[in-house]
Amino acid sequence: MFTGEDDFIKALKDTSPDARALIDALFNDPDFLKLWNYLKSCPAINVALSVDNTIKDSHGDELFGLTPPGKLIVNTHKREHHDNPSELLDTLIHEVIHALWDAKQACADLPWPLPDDVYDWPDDPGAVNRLDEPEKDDPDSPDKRHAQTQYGDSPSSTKRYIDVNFPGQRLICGLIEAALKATAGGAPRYRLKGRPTLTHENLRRHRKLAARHWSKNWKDIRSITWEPDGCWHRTSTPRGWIMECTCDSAQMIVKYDDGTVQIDLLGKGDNATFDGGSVTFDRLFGWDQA
Amino acid sequence: MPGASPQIAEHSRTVRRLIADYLQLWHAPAPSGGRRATLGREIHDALAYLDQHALAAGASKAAVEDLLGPAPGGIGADVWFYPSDMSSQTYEVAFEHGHLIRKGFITVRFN
Repeated sequence: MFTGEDDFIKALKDTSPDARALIDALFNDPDFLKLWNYLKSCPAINVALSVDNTIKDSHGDELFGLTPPGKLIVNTHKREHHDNPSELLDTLIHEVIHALWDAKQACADLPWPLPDDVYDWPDDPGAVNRLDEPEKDDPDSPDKRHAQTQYGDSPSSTKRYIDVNFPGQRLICGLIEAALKATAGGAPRYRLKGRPTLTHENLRRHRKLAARHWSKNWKDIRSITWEPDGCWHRTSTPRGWIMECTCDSAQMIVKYDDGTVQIDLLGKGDNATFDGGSVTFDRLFGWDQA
Repeated sequence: MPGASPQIAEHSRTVRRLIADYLQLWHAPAPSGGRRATLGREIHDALAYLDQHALAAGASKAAVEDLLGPAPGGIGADVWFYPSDMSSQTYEVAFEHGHLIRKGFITVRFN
């Protein structure tokens, strides 16, 4: 069960108009509702939902969110949540994963809603010491190698590893991408309500993104729009061109002769290359736009 | 800490010094994991002693801060976090209307 659900969702939505649209989309996504409703419908627990603007861990580092026993708190004043509304969804889903694991034993009668490979550190059977995730400057150990290979970097501290594993991070990113797709603006710019998050960047840095390399046949393409224009650097080559993304992320909008549209998001340093026959590129994620 | 026993006063001085050293290492650019882990265990032991012998429900915020030092973290104004010996564990002190209502080591998951 939840305490404070309506006020909590309203406070998340009140962060910005774009956050409102994305939160609405998330709470209409059946894949997210499966996670949310597990917590909401379990009579054995009571999760107090709240937002706060001063959450710091015991080292004094400002946090995105926090899940103490019986609580789920999102820091709505965190700068990253305002710079990029997708980060608000990222934090919420991250904390929901923690809350699910916190509730699992008490709610064992309900069907477990997370995929089998999604863990947080305190519940990961691959971790030797589940109460003590290593920090980056700790000596080498099996747990440190596990954190490096299965978790990657924390967004809240350069000294820490994140505490939801890569499959959990892919789940988070998939839900964010679905919300971005559902709320994308119309032609010709298809303005998005948020951008890829630090979790996307962590997956990219650790080569854990699904389906990263793509190719499009030039003969089928009617036009390509590069948004925003200032985020792309073009270099001519003997057979075509290279477009390099110079911002944290930017959109490549491809319109086809058959009227369909594909939107791909590339990250900083990613290239799209036209060699005279096809356009090949590495992307963070993308979709067919209706 | 007027009226505190010599042992409590000594543990209070110790925990405040250890936490200051711990935070200095945490925020230093150079790797310090081994030394910090040792400090974390010493902080845990000192906090456990004070938890058992000096902290009681009803204590004021000023009295708790006098005993443990300023809290490095927390949630809002009424929940304070102090470091401990494990990354997922923190020592929590919670207040209501300015008086201590909850204290102890808890497991926290965060982002």
